[in-house]
Amino acid sequence: MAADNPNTSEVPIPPTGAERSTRSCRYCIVGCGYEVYKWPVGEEGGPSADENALGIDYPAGYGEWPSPNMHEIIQENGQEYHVLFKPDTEYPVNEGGSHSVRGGTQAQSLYSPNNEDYDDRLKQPQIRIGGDLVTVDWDTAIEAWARATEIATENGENPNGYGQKLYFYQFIENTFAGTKLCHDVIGSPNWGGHNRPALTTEVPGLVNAGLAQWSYAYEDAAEADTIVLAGADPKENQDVIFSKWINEEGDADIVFIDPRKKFTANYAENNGGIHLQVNEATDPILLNAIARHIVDQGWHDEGFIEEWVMDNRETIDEEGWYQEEFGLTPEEYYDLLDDSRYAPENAAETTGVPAEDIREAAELIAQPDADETNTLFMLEKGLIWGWSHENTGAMANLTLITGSVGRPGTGITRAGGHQEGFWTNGAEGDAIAERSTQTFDGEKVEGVTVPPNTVERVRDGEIKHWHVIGNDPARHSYATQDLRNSIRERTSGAQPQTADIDEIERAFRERIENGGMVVTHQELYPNTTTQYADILLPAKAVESGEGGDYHRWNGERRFRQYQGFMEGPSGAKEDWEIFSMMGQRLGADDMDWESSREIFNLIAEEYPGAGGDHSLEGIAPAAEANDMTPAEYMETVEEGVQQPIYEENGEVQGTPRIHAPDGEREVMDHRFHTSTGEAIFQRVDWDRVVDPDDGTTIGDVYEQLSPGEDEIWVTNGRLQHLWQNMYTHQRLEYVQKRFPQNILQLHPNDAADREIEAGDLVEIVNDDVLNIHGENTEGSFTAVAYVVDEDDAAQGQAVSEGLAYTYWLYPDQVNNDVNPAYLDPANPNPGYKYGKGRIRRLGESEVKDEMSFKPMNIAPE
Amino acid sequence: MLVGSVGDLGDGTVETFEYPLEGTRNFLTRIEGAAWGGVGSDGDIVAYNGLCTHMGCSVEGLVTPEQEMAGPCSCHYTTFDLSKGGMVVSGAATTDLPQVRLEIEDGDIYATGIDGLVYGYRNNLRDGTPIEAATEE
Repeated sequence: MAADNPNTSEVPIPPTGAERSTRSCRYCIVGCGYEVYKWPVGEEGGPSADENALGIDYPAGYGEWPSPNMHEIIQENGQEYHVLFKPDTEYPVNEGGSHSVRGGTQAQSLYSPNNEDYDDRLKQPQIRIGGDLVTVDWDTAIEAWARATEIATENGENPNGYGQKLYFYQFIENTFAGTKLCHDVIGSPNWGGHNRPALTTEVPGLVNAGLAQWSYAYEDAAEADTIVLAGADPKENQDVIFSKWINEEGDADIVFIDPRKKFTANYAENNGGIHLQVNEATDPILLNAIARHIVDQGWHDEGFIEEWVMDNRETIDEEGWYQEEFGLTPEEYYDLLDDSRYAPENAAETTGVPAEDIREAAELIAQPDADETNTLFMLEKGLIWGWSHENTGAMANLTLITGSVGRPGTGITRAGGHQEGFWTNGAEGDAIAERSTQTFDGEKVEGVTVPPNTVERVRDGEIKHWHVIGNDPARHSYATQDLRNSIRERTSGAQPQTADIDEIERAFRERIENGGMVVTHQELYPNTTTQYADILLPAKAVESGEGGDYHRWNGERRFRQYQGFMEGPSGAKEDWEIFSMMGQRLGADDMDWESSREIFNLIAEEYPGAGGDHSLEGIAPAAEANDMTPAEYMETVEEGVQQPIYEENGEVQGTPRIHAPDGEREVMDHRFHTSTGEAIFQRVDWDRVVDPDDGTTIGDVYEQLSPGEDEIWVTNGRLQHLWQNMYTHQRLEYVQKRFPQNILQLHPNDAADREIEAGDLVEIVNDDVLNIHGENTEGSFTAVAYVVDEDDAAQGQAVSEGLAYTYWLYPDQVNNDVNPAYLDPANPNPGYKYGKGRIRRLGESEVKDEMSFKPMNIAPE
Repeated sequence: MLVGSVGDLGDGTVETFEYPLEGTRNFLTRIEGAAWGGVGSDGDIVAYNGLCTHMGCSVEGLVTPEQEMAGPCSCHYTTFDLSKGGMVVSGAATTDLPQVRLEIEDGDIYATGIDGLVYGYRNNLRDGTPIEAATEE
């Protein structure tokens, strides 16, 4: 009897004539290569290598197999096509065919009118008329957007009335067009990225030390002797970095710093490393204690520090306001570490990490018996969305005291997020300097203009037309339950009663003049923000291959072309085209682009970012030498090229890693990104004053954030099956089967105290959501309890008592509703990780018998 | 196809068999509790294909009946829940572990089909020699 599951019974083989294109995965920063095969339904290749486009003999061998979820049938112009998304076994990132569950199932995320799960894809522009979204034509939609912008900005007199919430990631063609619209055409400083409310760096303590956030090559993970994973778990969110570069190719001891004893914690401990199970929100103390022990033992690299770390106070002060406020000379840094708070025994009390483990980790990191320290430092959202400056600055400091940077097997890097494609024409600097209404007062500097927090400018009324593109701020901001209340109130005024453009303008004007706001939402699928949208604009899913060709880079700055291979909904448009229509309507005479390739050629030739970490300056000269356009030339660079990109002998040349020592190619004419080329230690101080008006310190805020009676910490993060707000994965059967609802990992004792068992639906309530901008607020969400019995927890409980964990952005079950409105005043990044709440059982969930509640942290021993 | 006997399948036992093609290796085991598709008086007898659906490494030797899991696979550490149809607990596999359908008659356990595509194949019955044919030879 044959397999009879209709979804998995057979995968067709592409014939030799199948159309082949290449691209990287639509999801995470690793950027694995994929081959895409497309051929008409009704045709099929044979099982011998010479009979199929894959060039393999069936049954397929190790790493060769196209699984059922690598296949989809799409429809274009009445013709059905098979599409196969297969890991590219030749691509340097995932050579051999490694892939994650997300990348390996991305074919299933392709839009297909045959799949009812995708029926709600946005296909036509809509405007909310009389309370409901009504289909309109593109001209009406763009004109409505333009009139809302003109009203909000008082015909350009007050650009701040327009706010844009765009993605930081995606592709350079679209971010270039979008930021040009906001900063250059309209002139507004009110720009927020998809994951944070201002145009700020995610890693302030790192970049202001003169370090690059993406500085390493993946091979460094294979060559390192020690890897520090702090607030970062590649097993969960960078699968191929873990499985191929750390595990298969490498042999490093891992120092895993995380509040949870998850798979990677057990993997580290089973393989010569150590897990530092840090108490929630105490990372700066732990990282300082490790640094103190390294210095106390004399394991720090004094030669490196003397040559490459800035030691003149005046020079540091002249570097910029951030360095004046937070930069330290080596002596100042050592004095800070000398605070008794950072002695291992004292740090152990606060952080929960035994002093002997702190010392062991310090030795693993410093490698005192080695000729050179080969430690790679990796950090991500567990540090970034917390004490943003302190956590990232502490990792920068560890990198600098060990001198472990710029050589194979060393470095510091972020370890998560999207593939990157943020590009601008430079207009944002003037817009922020001239018009930002947000300033910073520190302990040393006063009145410094900083990029505005746009979420607060939605709340306080400065933004009157909010243009949201490719994200869902009503769900993934901080303290979102309260934010939604503000958005609901500000969009609840006058509404158009017909699609007549003058009636639309009348209603928008009446609403805005009464303190309200118009929301434009540019998206693929409806989400929570769509509920408040007045203008809804359907976009092409270019990251999945719809539309034209695009460019971006991955976590080792490997820059490549992504070739479009399908049309998507005919009524949707690529984001750059929508921005182009808007810009031209407002009078821009330099946005009349015809294609994404034309924008890429413009960037490569006129805005290549020369001199920076991500410089593209070699592309245009190499293209010219080959008598091609830049886009045509990049089509030939099949393996991509690592930024900064130079031209030599008529071809592009890449840069494997940043911060290489003298004698190797340097970025910005310096080894480190400061005026002198020396890096700068960062002040990481639990006693730092974050509110000069009342003297509130980091430690004080920690006390305010800490759970009270009957409450526990509720932190959040990734699950490897799920991507972001699950705009694809909530529609993908295979993934939904594993996680049909959000989960809340609970320790069995915490569960028992509340009469909760695995599979119960629970509510998490925080009636004291910290708000540094005003009165504290309330928030709540629901999830399914994930409780592992002690008998089944073969390698320990993932969460300790007093800590719960949940996926960070499950649709309709979003923990951001309980997360605090604490943002670093110097660099307004939110502390999303520091949630808390009371947990109570609502009842038995509908999925109790469908989900697996087995332990997810079993690692090889 | 006869693949085992209820009487011979004690707690913790893991047996292997080929089905439906020559070289398609599966394992038969009795787990702690009732399983989706489980047979026997307690519904705790299950069989699955032995190749991890991520990249094709074997999980035959990594079955823990008392934990009701297979894995973590030695290559990239996917684990499968044997009580829930081979659902992935953790890991990068892009399909469940194919489950062999079982029936019991007079204490003998028979394989009657497979739910899910076996690693490497486009169809579980193509590109190989059916095990029945091999038996006849």
